[in-house]
Amino acid sequence: MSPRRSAEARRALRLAFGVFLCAAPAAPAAPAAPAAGQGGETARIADRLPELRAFSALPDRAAAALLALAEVLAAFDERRDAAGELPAMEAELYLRALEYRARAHLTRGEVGEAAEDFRAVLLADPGWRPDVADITPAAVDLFEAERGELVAYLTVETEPAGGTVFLGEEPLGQTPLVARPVFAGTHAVRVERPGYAVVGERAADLFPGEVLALSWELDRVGPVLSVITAPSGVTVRVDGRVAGLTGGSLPEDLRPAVPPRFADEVFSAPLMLSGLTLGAHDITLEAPCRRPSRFVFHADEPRDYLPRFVRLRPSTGGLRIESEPSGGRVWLDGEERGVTPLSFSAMCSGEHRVDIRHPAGRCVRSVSVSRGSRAAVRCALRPVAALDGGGPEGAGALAAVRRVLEGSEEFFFAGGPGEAEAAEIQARIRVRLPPPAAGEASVEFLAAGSAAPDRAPFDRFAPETAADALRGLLEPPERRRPWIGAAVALRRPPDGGAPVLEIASVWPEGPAGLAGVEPGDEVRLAGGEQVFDELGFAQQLARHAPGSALDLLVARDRAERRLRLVVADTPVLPARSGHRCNRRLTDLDAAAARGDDDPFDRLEAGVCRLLLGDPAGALSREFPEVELPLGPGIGQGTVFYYRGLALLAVGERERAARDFAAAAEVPGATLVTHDGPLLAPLALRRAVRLR
Amino acid sequence: MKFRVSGTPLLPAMAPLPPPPRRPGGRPGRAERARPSRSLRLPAAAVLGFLAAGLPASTGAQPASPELEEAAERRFLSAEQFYRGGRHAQALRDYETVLGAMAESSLADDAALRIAFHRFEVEGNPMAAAEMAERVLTEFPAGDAIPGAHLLLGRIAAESVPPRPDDAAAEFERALTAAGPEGSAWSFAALHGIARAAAGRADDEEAAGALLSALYETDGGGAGERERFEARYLLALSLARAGRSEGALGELAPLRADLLRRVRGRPGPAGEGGTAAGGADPEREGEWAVSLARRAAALSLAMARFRDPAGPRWTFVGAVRPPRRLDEPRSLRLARNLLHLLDRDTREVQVFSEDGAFEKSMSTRNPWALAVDPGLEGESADPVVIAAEDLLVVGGNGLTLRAPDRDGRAEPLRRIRAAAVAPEGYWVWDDRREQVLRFARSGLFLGPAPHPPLERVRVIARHPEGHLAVVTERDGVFAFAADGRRIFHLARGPALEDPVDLVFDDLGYFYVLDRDGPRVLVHDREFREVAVLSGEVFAGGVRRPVSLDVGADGALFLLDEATGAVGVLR
Repeated sequence: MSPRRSAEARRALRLAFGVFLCAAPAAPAAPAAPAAGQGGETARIADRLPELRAFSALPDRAAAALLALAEVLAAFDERRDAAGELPAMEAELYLRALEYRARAHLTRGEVGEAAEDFRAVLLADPGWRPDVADITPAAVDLFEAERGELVAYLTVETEPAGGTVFLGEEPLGQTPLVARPVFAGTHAVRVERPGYAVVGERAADLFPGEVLALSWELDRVGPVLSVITAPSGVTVRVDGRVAGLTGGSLPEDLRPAVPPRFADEVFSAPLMLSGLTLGAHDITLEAPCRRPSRFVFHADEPRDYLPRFVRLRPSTGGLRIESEPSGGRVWLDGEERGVTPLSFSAMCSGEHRVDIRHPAGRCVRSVSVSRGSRAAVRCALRPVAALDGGGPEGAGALAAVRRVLEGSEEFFFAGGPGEAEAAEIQARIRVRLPPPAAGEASVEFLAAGSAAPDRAPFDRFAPETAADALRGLLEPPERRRPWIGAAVALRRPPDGGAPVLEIASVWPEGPAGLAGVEPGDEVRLAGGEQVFDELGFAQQLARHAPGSALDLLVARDRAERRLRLVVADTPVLPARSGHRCNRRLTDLDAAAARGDDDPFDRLEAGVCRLLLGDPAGALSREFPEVELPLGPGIGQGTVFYYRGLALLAVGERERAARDFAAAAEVPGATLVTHDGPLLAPLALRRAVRLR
Repeated sequence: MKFRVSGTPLLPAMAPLPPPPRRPGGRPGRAERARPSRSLRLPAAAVLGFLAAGLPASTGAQPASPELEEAAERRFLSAEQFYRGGRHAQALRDYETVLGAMAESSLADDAALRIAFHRFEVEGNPMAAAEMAERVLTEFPAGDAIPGAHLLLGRIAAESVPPRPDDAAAEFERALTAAGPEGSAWSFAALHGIARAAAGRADDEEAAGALLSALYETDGGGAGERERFEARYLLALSLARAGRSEGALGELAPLRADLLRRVRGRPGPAGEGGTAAGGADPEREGEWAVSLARRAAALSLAMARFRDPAGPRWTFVGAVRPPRRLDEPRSLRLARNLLHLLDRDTREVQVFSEDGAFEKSMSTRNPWALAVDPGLEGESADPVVIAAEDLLVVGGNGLTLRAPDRDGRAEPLRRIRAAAVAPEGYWVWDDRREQVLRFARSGLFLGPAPHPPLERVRVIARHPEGHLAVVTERDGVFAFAADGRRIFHLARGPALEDPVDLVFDDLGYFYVLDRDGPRVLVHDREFREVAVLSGEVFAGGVRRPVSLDVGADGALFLLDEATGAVGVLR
């Protein structure tokens, strides 16, 4: 390569390999428009080139052509710099533009520049043929002169023919090879044919403009077996070692050799197994979705054996993929295949990786499909957690946290920084290690869309304690609590004896009210056990899941009554202290994504946003959608109160005052659970102060 | 380090002082400087175990040199360590050095606040404390110590003689405002102070609102577990007094459950009524939780009695025989779950439990009446106050009360026949002057309580809303508003033959004892009659009662001069 070669020439050289094989030397016409999808820019360039070609031959337009072609070339340069290599179509357009620029230079009398461009083209493709349209004799002469200086011609013949010719390590074609244009110079030339010894010349001198003719007689050295498979794409092993992969399609001349029983099959091109020794060889054939095949090949003498046609039978099973919730997008072995629930009747047998993604979370499973059977994957989608970075000093804590996340059954761990798509992450975990004087070390949990993280401190000198801190953050906060709609209190019996536990108040429409519990009932047994105080009753209730039955034995009017009530639940809204709102928000967002959230969930999410310092978010996202009954407990009064707080936080005092006043008017409205605390005095206080 | 209230009912529970913020390069924000806020922590504070939320701190427009900041920080930390170790003098020297020699540092205002609290809490010098707090306000107007200074001024106003509850409430409101919308370690204490001030003027709705705000709108960073539990109890009580019994019961049940869970989940007190094990400090071991659980249970029982659709009922359940003989029983009061019984003849106050177990006795010269000082409930001294002719015996110590006579000369009172305890101190009836006079706890005369002319007053009491209630021998029972206006009169007659005693319970109900009936008249705080106990209620066990008191659970204790025993009605 000449040291004075221009930048275009160097770039052209980088293109050489791609273009060498792909450019069509016998088709010098302007390239066809690129296929759809290659981009409108390429298509526009292809459309414009004929015009530039015409301009390049016109003295008054050549300058304009030069400018335009420089832009075209620069555009391709940019694209190559970004992509690394140009696709074949664009590489050809690039060389064509270079050729036209050479012609424009020549029209303007800039012979040196023209020669350099022609040379760059030829360095990229020695067999390049200029576009004959609009070409001037001077351009033809100059191009040919350059070609005469750069290109030699190679002719190779062998006996038998069919050997593959390599120039260096580049395959040029099969013998007989006639006058193939190549770079002039000294090259290694060799010919390979399976079953025959390799022949060649280590330093063949190819002089510019001259033809070098080489001829060899090939020596048989071993047997050759051609394997032809249906389908193609079969991995062939010889004595356990991979010998190759079948591909292509069956040549016409071999079609008559296909056994009649395989007449309907589509076979591959022959894969020639050479380098075999004489004797028996174990040949195995494997392909995805196919049952493996195997045969023994006996090579008695070094010759070409008849091709072996092998058909691999399909090996598939059924696969059903479900997720909770449904509607998750399914990636099967890395390829997006649909939305859950999803069924495949003919899934290749073997191991598969199922990846289900949904706004509610993600699930990744491996599933083994056996031939003829039906496999199923059922995934409960878990919120996706990702670990954000930390400094190197936090490596120990990060490792501890990572172990917890990897073992989490609550969350799907998507990995560290950059290992998951941001849009799919529901929770970010971060280890914070500020300088000792600036604060304590902590683990943070930040829900997607949250304004501030939950934080748990750990001992910076004991990094493993970060794991416990994270476990605390991952622990789901109490969001529902068993509830019966009745309050208990101590009462002195009429005879002045020891205090007893009585039902102090009852929601008429609550579980206790519906079961016939009345205020004043003395609680004798709850859940079959004696309860003596409020704690005993609370513990007994806590042992009953919502939906379960709770038996009460109560005394009323000196008679005992057995009452069975069905335990319901009450929402538990976050209080300002001790809440883990980010953890709640991941659950609530997942519930919303599943579509099984209820107004209480939305209220809870709004309260969380408010407590996390995002009142505007609560006002815009949750509160407008929450509508609850105007009754006691957590209801519309609660919504009014929290909405008032949010409005106050964003400076809307008048609206806040109205909401607080409305909240104070709702009898029995509560703050945290249906059982209290009562919010009226609080709302009233707020309303009065705002007035 | 914790600064704690020594225990008068009007005081807000004092939160631990929040840690001073670290402000790298910050200046103390003296009057002429702007001090934007930010939140940081001092590492020393973490060492000392402070509980603190992020506090608004300040940075200055002109940062102090890092060397000065570092020196101030070292000195401040030294002071904190001295203080924690009880070496107050050394600590104060360090605080004063930070305030004086390092006034440009970011910790100067925090040091000033520490000194102010020390003056008030430890030295008992409210004037010096107020002066230092004012200095914080004037010299560091944008500093993070401002809420603390207002809080301290509120406490000083609440405890001043006479108390200035309106000023206190205003200072607590200022503390709350200065703490910022998100609240801070000061917010809980400020709201608690507002609630107590409201409760003191019987504004129970406001008290409940402030307590709800403290419990559910602040992060409670400055409050300990005990303060939070007590706030919950006070919330239940406020709701009950405000007539929101459903809400009160809604608070009481989980409060009791949480307290019992705490009591039973810890070594020490085995349960209600248990005692701390192993001689450990009961304060630390959670005896307060046992006591609070008991109070909550009592409140629950008291409320249940008045929630009964058939009206409140009592049943005579027996009598408690005093451990010593009675000759002329005169007055009965309950304090710390013990009966205090005054006998005129033996001049003795017997103290015994509800099952008659003798605890102690106190003798004094010429005793006439008993009262209970809730402000002494947390002290080691006995909480009863004895009106003893020319002395008021408080916590076992005699207090000579002097008031101006007609000539303006301060003369000692010589016929103290009745006494009551008020937030500001004591109200006493002097038979010679025929006037109810008001005194501070120190004995300082605060002036007469306005009322029309009265004669032969037997008992005086303070209505929860601050009214004066009296029982006279001839004219029956009266209540007078703060301006002396008569707002209630229960004249002697067939329905009230010989009124001899009057008490209020925790819910504000008041009970008048008629000796000749015998009968007990029960009225609510609006003076509406809700029950009359007479006849069969006493089941012959009470014949001629001369005094009564009400337990926290609403149980009535009647001192019977005929039987020489205390009849109990539950």
